[in-house]
Amino acid sequence: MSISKYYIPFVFLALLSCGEFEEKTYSMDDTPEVSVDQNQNINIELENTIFSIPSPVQIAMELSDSNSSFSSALLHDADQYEKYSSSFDKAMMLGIYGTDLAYCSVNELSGKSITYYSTMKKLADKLNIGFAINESLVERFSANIDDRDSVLVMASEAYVKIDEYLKENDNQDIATMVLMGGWIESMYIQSTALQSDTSEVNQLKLAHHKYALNHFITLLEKVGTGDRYWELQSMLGDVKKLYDDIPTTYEFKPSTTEATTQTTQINSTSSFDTDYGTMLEISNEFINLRNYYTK
Amino acid sequence: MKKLLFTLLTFLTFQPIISIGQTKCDSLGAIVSSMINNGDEGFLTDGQSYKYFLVEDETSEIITTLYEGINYRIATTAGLEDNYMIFELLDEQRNLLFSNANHNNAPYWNFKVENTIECTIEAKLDPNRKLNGCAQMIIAFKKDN
Repeated sequence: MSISKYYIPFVFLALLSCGEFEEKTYSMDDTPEVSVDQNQNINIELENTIFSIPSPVQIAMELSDSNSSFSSALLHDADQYEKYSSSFDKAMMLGIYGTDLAYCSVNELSGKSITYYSTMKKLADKLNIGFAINESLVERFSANIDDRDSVLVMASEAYVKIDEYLKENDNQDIATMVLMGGWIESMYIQSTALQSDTSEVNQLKLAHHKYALNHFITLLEKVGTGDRYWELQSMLGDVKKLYDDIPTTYEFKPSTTEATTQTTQINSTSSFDTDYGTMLEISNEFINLRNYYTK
Repeated sequence: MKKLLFTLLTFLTFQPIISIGQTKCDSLGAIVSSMINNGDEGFLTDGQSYKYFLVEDETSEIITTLYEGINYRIATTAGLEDNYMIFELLDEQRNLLFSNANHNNAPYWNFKVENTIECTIEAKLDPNRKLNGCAQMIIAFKKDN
């Protein structure tokens, strides 16, 4: 009897332990060590499905290749980071400042890049995920600030570390908001570019985010944890209605693969039948959405 | 005292079982990252973390958009051996665009995209090589020159 009294709690503890993450520890190089249990989903998984969202760096690179010139007026004031108090806002701002960092870095504005990187660090601290942008990363960032490629690599590393940490600690809602903020800021910059250059190329760049919008709406349905999430979902739903007016086509064509270079060319074709009126409405929606959250 | 001793012994008995139940994944990040820029090719990660624990016959899906004018590299690992993972790229109609199983489970592959398309990446362990374990994937990109 006395044996079972002690035996059962330990069996329970053993089973419980199998269902949780191991506490994070730090190895010599300060890299967090991660242990994952078989039953724990560590990504934003919806019935074993993960959504991949385009990187802010990718979108900033596309903008820099277009005729759009850099405009510092589009950046969100880094000094305002302290006015956001809820986790929802802080996470969204972390994403927004992340995109501003990418936008500055791609345009080789080292001083502004450091400002936004430091602001991200401060916001990460406020979200208790400061170690994701640890001091060694900050030092490396400052030391390499004039090397655009290194800066972009380090910015991407910081995004991954933040995303990884949040997902591993079951903060999928916050992780989604960081991605969301980054994407909204990217769409804001791209929308502004469209309004000054209405070329079909710019219209198509914005139209191509139709899929990402649908992914975010699905994510919010699954991970949303309160009114602010439902409100955002509703606003994105309004943008989706406009996107639904853009017909798309897809035609499968077999890919061609070159094994020696480990490269596959995807030959399938797609089209987005844009019209300026609809794209202008979509761009207005994105600009309003971003300004609503940064006010 | 007897009870305390029993408690300690029970804990020590179960501790190895607990450790086996958990799998260290911390080494995978370095392995998969090394595949992204193994030749200084200028790829950048998309900023997201794709980690999962797979058991036999279990498949994980990543839904993504591949944008025209961007080159992609998809890299995945489930351990020190290069070829534990099978991954397939499917289009929105579930047509097969690529499978690394046709290339000895190559741990990474590059993709050039003509038009923006929505795709699904399906990843699973090769049951002939590994039955369960942690896996990690990176989606990286670079501008088409």
